[in-house]
Amino acid sequence: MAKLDPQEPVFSRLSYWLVIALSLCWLIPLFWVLGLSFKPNEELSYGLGTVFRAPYTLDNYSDLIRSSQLGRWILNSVVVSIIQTVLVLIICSIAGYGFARLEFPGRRALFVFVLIGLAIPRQAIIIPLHAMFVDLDLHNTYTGLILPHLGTPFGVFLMASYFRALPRELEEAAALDNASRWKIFLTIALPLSVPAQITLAIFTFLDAWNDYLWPLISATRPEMYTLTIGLAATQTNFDQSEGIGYLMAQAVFAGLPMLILYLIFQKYVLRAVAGAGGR
Amino acid sequence: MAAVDLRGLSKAFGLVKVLHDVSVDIGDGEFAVLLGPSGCGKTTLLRLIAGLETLSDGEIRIGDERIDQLQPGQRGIAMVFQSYALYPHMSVRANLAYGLKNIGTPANVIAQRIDQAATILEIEQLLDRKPHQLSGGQRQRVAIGRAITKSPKVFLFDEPLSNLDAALRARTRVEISKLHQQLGATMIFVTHDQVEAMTMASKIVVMNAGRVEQVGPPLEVYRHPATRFVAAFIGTPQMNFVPVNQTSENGGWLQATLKDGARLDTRIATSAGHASPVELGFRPDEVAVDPDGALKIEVEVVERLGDRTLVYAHLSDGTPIIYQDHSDSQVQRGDRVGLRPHLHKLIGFDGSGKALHPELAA
Repeated sequence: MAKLDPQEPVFSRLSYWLVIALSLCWLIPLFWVLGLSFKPNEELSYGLGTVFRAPYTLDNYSDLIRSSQLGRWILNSVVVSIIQTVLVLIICSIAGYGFARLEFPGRRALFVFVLIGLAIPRQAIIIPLHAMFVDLDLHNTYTGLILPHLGTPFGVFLMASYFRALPRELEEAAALDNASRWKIFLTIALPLSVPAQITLAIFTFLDAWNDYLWPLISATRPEMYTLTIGLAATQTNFDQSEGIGYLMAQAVFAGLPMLILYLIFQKYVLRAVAGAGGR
Repeated sequence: MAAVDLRGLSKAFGLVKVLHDVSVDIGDGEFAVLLGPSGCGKTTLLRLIAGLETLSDGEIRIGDERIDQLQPGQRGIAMVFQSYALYPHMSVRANLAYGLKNIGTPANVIAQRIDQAATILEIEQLLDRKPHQLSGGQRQRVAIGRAITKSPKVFLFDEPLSNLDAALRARTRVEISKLHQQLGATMIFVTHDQVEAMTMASKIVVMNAGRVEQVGPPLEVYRHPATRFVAAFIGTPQMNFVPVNQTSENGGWLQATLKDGARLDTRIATSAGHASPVELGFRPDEVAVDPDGALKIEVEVVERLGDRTLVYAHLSDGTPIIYQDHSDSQVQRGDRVGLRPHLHKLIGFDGSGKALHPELAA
């Protein structure tokens, strides 16, 4: 944070303090969770204030790993999130480029049609989707977990907007350089849209990782649980007043991959959330 | 290298027609400049030749081949864009190689062509940089280099100097002219800057509102403008135009009476059968200061440029007049001066804007 300068206007200084206060509101529960996850359950039964003093233990984490299929769930989450992200990037890039640059009859109408999808909540289509996946026998498969989230109007919209903003002259120069439309897409437009793709990748990955409702319906066998469903399933097996350290260890486990991802892609996440589209 | 033949080109964007029946022949190895104000259709014409826009009507030939149905990459054309359009994610070398790679040129030939282009343009040390690491002038060179490596039949330039500062623009002008001589290629250059057109072109195509006003070598366009538009557009400061009230004949030559009653003799033949001029035009340097001169003007602003003096004045009816005086002219603001336009330089313009030229001096 910047050093406070007594000459600075009151409003500016106030906003510093406000930011500090808000970040404390945000961070204290997180540190609380982290602290609790290292405490033995017996000691926590005396009161939650014990979090500030020894002893600390790794038992909650080892219990978690021993008593559940945690490794499998993490793997499932990783597989689903990565494949979903990659496929969404491919589909949205191609569709976005098509809407941005190709002339075809009904383009505007089709684009509006895609955007209408933004207004339809996932929950609204969950029953027909479930029925369809039962018919196709796709529940409890990776395909079943991934497929419903591949058509993302937001991604198409984001990529189309980004491609539209690329200077048309670059593609014209490439056309004069004997590049086909496909080649222009692959060698010029796609590499230049990396910032938008990172934005979309972050949103998609977060969405896939944190998704709860669809995996809850589609993955009914424990070996096909994603991390969110798996952790939720273990909670029902413990008395939570005693198992609070264990519960917190689960929360840390669920959040850790996101935290690591955030630290790596911090710059792009900030840009994505700020709505700048990473330009 | 090849000649470019544009036949009856028309282009409309929806209901807006931007080019009207444009026909121009550009000879093999010629440096043609498409010149005109913003929105006159010159860039559209260039893009039609490049294949970046589709023709509404007409045909384009390069050499003996009709090319207007071909894809841009198959026309044997290279284009330097106003924004240079270098691929920002590729190194300079990759930028130069891109077009050649796309047609399957062997790597050793690509390397050789890049070296040649880099030597000609003195960009050898820039080959491994990315475009954002280059200055405007360097990007310009790379853009030209990208065109050269393809050894095209025709080079197209779309206002490539407009993003450069004045000094660099002047230098690059000279360099492009040199390059033209060195390569002997047919080049078509779009600009709204008449200095670029006058200094670089072997042929100027003056365009206005989607039509070709005049085609010719620079000096011919300057000395014998076909229309009032060309006369006004070419030359800095602009040509003076004085409205004619009445015309008469004086010994076979046209004599014009101005609004203030002053009479100007011309060497425009009355026997030629053309319409009467409604205006007379003369350039600021084609006039002599003469107390007995027919044009009586009042001086408003004096610009002393060192090598010459530009005087901005007006006639009694308010018609603005600019004339050029020698460098140590003593003329002052508010002075009343008599001017005598050179007899053989006075050009008439009829109601439609067509120029009526004087007979050449004997």
